[in-house]
Amino acid sequence: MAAETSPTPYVCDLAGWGADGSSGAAQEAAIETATTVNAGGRDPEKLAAAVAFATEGWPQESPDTPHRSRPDVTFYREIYGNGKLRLYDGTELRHWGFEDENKRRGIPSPLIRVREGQIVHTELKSKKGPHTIHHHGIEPDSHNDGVGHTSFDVNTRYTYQWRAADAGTYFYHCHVNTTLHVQLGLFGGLIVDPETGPGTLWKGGPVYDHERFWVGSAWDPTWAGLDHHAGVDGADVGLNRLNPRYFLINDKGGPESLEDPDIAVRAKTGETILMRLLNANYHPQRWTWDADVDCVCSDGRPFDEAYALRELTMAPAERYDMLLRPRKPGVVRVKVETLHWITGKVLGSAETLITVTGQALPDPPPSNPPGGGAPANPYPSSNPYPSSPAPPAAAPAPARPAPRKPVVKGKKVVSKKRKPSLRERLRRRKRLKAKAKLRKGAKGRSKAAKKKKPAAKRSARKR
Amino acid sequence: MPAATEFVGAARGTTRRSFIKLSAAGAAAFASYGLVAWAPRAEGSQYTIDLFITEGDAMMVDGKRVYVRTFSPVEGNVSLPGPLMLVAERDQLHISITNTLSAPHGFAIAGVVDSGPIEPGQTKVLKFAAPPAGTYLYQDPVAAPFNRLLGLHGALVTMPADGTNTPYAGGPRFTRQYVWVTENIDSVWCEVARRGGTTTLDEIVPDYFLINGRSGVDSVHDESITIHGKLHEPALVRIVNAGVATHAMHFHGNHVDVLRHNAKPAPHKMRKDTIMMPGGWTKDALLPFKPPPDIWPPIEQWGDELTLSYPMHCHAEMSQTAGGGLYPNGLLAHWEIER
Repeated sequence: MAAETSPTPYVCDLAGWGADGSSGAAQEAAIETATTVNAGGRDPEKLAAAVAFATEGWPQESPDTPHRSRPDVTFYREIYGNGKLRLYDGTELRHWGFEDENKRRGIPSPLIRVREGQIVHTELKSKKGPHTIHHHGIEPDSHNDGVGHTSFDVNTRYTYQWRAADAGTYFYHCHVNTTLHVQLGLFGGLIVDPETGPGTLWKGGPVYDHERFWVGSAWDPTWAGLDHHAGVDGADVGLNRLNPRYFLINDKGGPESLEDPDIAVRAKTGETILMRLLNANYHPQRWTWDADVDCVCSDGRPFDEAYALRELTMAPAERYDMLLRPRKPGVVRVKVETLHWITGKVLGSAETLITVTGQALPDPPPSNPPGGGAPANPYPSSNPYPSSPAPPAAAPAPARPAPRKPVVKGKKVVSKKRKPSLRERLRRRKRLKAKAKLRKGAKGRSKAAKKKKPAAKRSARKR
Repeated sequence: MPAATEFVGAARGTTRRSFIKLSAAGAAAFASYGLVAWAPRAEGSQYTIDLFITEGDAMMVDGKRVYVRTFSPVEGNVSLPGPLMLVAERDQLHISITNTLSAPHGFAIAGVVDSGPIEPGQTKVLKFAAPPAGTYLYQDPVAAPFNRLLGLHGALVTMPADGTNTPYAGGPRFTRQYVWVTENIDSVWCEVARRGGTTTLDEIVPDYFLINGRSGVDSVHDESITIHGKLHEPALVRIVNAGVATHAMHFHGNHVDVLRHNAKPAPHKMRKDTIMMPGGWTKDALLPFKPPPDIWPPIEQWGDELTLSYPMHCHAEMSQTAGGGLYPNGLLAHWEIER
């Protein structure tokens, strides 16, 4: 795997790169390399202009924030390039990310959560080359928008200033060599609550009892071997070819996302569950539920009417807010499939469960869906991908746990990480064995995989 | 700092000049892509349009030459994309299409007109009424979508009969309108096609991503692609995805109202910052030119240092590359609020 053969991941090794961020020489060096080493029969003048544009955010700056005001809330985000995430099959996924002031990390990067009307400071500390933060869907002036070619890349430090205007679901990400940086993990969730805080989706909008921010991502481990500015010197580094192999909801995939307490939901009949969805990959995603859910808002802008649906296709970077108001006890399976951006074929999937307990409530629900009736899909005629039979995915199929009865203790549902059933344990063992066989150093690898169990338990703790 | 880089493809340069001549003569309903100039007319008219199915080379943003097939208004030249046809409801179109290549090709607009195969050397004249107000993709229906992907495509825009600056009768008013045709070039497929080969969708791996025939440094310095306006001067953006990849058009700075899908009403009223564009689709969106809502302090408190210049790019980020790298020389445009 390319990721393992690259000894120095995450470097910014262009010749002429000054420690102070001055990069005129680096820019010239990139053009020189492009037009000599990497030219490949291309018109040199055109190629030089393209390289100059690719390096236009340079030289990077760390300027003061214009009209800096006293913030209502401040977030600190520091770049790291040595993230490692242990996946369900024992693989260690190398990634980058934003770390907060408490050194918290993860996929996605730590949440930014603010309220309408708040003046927000997001303080970026760049490391290992220039970065930016673009708050996607948040619309400030160009200086605070985090786009190099309309402002600047941040060499060491910059404080982005903006004021949250509209409640909704957003995200933030780096906008430097974005194709690479976002795919390697430089993204995190962003929520704007109404002034009243969490519990209401927007002012006068639906209220909810349970909330999940599900970030669907897909990972091509071969990209982890690329360096910070891969491709700006005209080399073909394959950034137009993304072939993901791992498919996650937040930081879990395979069997792990099914009942992880931070991902899966346990609720009672009559309660409202809010699902904030983000497609953090570059291929479209198809989300499906085996119950009707209400689609109420997208990209931080509520709809006039809610729509009941069971299937939703999302383009990269879109967000949708969905509500489930279960009337009956049972289990609702939620699945996110990554579809190839050209063929529409299923590349892989991740799943989780919503477990509903309590007494069945009488039908029809009094206010469900809000806004009434309506077509079955916000893209009824526009879904280019047929929903029916998902072709056998190349990705590992998550093990399905045996259906089980929800445990009700008194009035409260205790949401504890349950012990995996014998069937699950056997399946996991079988899967790990098969994996180990596939690998060459079978012994070492399978040992590492077995060690993973307690680690998974630790990470499953509730924050 | 790169200067505004001129497109150096000789074929295209010639095409553009010819194009203007045709428009000036009033002989055809061709208009330029990007910013669209439109003079409302009271009466329906008849237009005779000559198109030639041609082949040649186009130069990509990084100086690579790729083989293309196009609908060109001039025999012997290439035009990527094919000329924009700007008509009004009640107009009659007479499109004469001559196939100058050695294999059959055609001309079709889904649900409106289909020439069927046009044999090499043959000319077919299509006569049809302008379709209802909206944005349409025209393409070669032969071996779809692969000839389309080689460049045999363009856009037809029908303005409403009432002569207003609206996308459809009763629709919201705009100050300016733009047509953006997006395209994915797979240079390997282009080379295979030059030699007469075929391909499948599974084999298509695009390496160039264009908007009105340009990418990255070229498209952001193209004044017709860049959207300009003052506050509260809404722009209508007609997006035509002639490629096969699903794009995610992300506007920084303002959310847009998605009005039409494939020249029909959008199924739901949506205000989006990212629009899904499946291959072969058209969507019309209104960019409101509102003060960007999350600015702090408010616009009035800023001086000359305030810049309101934003990108619109595809968030399927593979499309932000050229030749496998060179971010952000892909499907990218700028829009600017002038003060």
